[in-house]
Amino acid sequence: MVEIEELKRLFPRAEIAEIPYEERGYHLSIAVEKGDIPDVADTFAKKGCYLFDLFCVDYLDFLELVYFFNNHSAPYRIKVTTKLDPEQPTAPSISRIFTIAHWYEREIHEFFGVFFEGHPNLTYLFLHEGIDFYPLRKKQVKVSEEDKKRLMPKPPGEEEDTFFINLGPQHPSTHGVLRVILKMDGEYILWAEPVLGYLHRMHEKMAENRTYQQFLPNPGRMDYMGALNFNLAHVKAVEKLCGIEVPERAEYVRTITCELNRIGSHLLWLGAFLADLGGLTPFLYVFDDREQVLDILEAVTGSRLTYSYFRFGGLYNDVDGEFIEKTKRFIERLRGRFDMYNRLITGNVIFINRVKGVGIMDEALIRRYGSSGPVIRSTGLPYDIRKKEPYAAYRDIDFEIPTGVNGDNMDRYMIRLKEMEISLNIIEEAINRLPDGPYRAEKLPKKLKPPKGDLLSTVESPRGELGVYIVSDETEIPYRMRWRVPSYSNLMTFPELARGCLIADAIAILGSYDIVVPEIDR
Amino acid sequence: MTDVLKIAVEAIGQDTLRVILGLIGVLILVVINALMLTWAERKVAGHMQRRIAAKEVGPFGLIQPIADSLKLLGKELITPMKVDRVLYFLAPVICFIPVLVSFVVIPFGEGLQVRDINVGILVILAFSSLSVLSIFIAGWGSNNKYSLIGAARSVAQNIAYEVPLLLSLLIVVIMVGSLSLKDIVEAQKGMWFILYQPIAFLIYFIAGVAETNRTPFDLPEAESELVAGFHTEYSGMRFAIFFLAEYTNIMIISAVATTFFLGGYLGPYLPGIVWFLIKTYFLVFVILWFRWTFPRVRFDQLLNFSWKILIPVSFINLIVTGGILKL
Amino acid sequence: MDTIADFYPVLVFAIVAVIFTIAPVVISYLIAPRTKGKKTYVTYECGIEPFGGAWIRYSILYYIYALIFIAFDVDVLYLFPVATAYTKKGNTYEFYTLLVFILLLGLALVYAWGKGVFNWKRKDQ
Repeated sequence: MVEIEELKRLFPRAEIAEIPYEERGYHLSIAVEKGDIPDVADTFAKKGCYLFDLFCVDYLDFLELVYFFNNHSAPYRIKVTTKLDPEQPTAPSISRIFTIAHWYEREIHEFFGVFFEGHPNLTYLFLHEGIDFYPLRKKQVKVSEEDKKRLMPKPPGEEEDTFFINLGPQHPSTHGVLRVILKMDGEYILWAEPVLGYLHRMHEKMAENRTYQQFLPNPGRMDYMGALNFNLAHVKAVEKLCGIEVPERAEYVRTITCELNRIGSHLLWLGAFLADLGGLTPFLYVFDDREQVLDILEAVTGSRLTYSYFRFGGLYNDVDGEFIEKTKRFIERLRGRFDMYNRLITGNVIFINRVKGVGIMDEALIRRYGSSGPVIRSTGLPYDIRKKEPYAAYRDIDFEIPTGVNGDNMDRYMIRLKEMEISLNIIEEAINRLPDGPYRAEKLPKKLKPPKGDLLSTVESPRGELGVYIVSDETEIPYRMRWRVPSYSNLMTFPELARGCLIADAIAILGSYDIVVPEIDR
Repeated sequence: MTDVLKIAVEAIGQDTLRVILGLIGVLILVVINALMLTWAERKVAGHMQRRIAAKEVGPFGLIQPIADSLKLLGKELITPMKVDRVLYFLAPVICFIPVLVSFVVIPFGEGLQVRDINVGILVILAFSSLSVLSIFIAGWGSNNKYSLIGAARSVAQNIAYEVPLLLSLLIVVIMVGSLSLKDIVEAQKGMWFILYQPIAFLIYFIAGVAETNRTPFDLPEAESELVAGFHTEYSGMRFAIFFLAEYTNIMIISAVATTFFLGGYLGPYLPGIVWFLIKTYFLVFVILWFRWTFPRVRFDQLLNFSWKILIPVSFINLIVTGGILKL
Repeated sequence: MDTIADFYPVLVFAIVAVIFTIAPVVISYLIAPRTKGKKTYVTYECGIEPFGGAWIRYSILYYIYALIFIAFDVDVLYLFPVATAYTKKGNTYEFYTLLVFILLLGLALVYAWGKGVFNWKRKDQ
């Protein structure tokens, strides 16, 4: 499937190895010299791939830059690595080829001190001014004075007659604490830039300081709206790493609860999106429904927002008849409510005029940014990890993936509504098929010490493609855990979409992404 | 008691007494109206959103607005450093003048009118332009970017909707041949004008909602875009005065609609003022209803709706009415 | 009662309105607490120190709307005296005058429309 021969011909100096996908979660590993990186990126860009992730791992002797490429049409996960000198780490920037790399490179620069040649703006992305050390380096490395100067954010130009507006961090429609700097010309936006880091907690560093079990509550704190999906991503990755078999029943319960979580997340988005457009009433209606989801999940997981329900090899506890009963009742209830939402929102002429033809995305844009989730399905790409690389019980259940045509806000709205209906079908199907048996794997070691190696594992969160990359060094603590979060690459398309828009449209576009800021900031 | 009144009338003249009593009555009405509308807004919002809304303070939460206003009275008056102090202080004062003056000519019942000025409706329209000025002064004086955008929007919006507002009222004037509000009400003895002129009524009402900056036309204070628009920098009692003016404005827009299209104080059995208040508050309720049902329109849509639809339709309506009157 | 004295209630109401708005502010000034923190008095900008002022030449795209409005508003006000003098039945001369006036006014709207004043385009640099 993957053209190794072709790649070998193109990059004769590279070491190319085929990787068992079932075990490691990617197909090919390519080790190249750092000078070849732009060529490699260019090749993959021409093949129609997108940059799934870009990060760095500190192996003490060397720093390893890891590029993950993927394709929207078929699973085609390729890891490209390059070694950097830990004393003077430099690498060529690929932000001209994949625009999203602009932000990934800034992140690596502030966390590892890697200098990217040709990058226009290597300022702080998440961190606060005045951090003395590169936080993700294994050995303390001091930030040089030269680098400190480079990291200081440049104040927006104070030319005469330019109108700068801060949208956030304390703003009603930035969903938490995102900040966007807008350069305005009257009502029009000339230039926009998101400023991140107001909720940065460095989960990736936390992961390097605690065992796999101890990290269990953390993923739910990254994305509080899709906490179970994040929980599952972590659990699934570690299970794969350690080779733990999960009982059938647990897989089904995971599917049911994750879909409930997805519905809850989409419902909240619906309310928030309408609130961004100035209609406040739907917010309360969706909360009414979401409350039911929370009640159901609370009864089995014990929490209402930041769930940590899945355990390695299964679940924290089994579901009972009451859970099934309540879920069935909820399915009936929500199905009856869609009609009301359609009458209240979809048919409203003001709503239609506000969302139709606004924030149009196309496939080329999506590939440059590596966006995922409902945002890209609106352009007509049926890309969904649940279908492309099935996990849990999704491989047994048949469901469709709704897609749009225009890639505008209206499509994103319709897709999320449709996805809720489909989630209901999935839940119903999973409940019907729910097998008996144990809910947790037996004979698990007390201390998890996964074998040496690395692994990529992906999950479809309500916002898109969520990836966990773990490097294990045979201890009970992960050597490096990287979280590739979907909102990150979705949000970064905002400056491009907002340019030239009216401010009201920009707010609608921002709302249509369904961003969760703590997930982006991690 | 009657003796005292008689002596008072003789001493200061009937006219003056009328003005003084009217003034007291109007001030009481304005305060009660604002208090009741804040309560009603919360209640309407609550019930439309399937919740109960204010209920703890007093029966059905009726005392809540009083508690709120007392709380606002005790809030610090923050004057940000960078504001233009004169404009910043002046804006809330100016915003209240037009709403109070409008009450001079509104006929609440037969004879229940402070003064029947023969160009009554012009007084209301002329003074209502002042409220735009106050919003612009507030936005500019605040030296805040959100306020400035809100203020600029407010001006554009108010001028866009003033033309259809004038045109729709003009149609009634052309039918009656008088600018006095009392004459207009009396002319509806046979039939309310809403039945002759449903389009003019609709245009007036839409333009009226836009003039009061209410959803779906609440762009000057668009919360999700401009935080709080022109009154971002206002807090405490100064904010409360903007609030008071806004709610009084809603009532005036509804009262004028009642006078021009719904027969004013006319109605069987009940006294005139009761009919007047019933009709007015029904329209007020509709305006509240809009807010909790519609999303906000975009700015270009807002302006173009007025220039491309409301104004041409008003013109056609005016010509047709003029033609029919000549038949 | 067609004299200027007819309007004195308007003046009285306007003066009372001023007093009515100043009084609560004064009361509030007397009883409300005052903070000493400097940051309280900083202009609100979503929690960030403001950069760049608000008093700049602000690009008002609806400037042309304002120009059309001035033409319109004055002309529509001319119609008010016309409306009061407009007689019912007969005298079709009045109707034709009105028609011509409105058609001329409508022409301004058509011209602006044709000129593309009402089109808001996406602004790409």
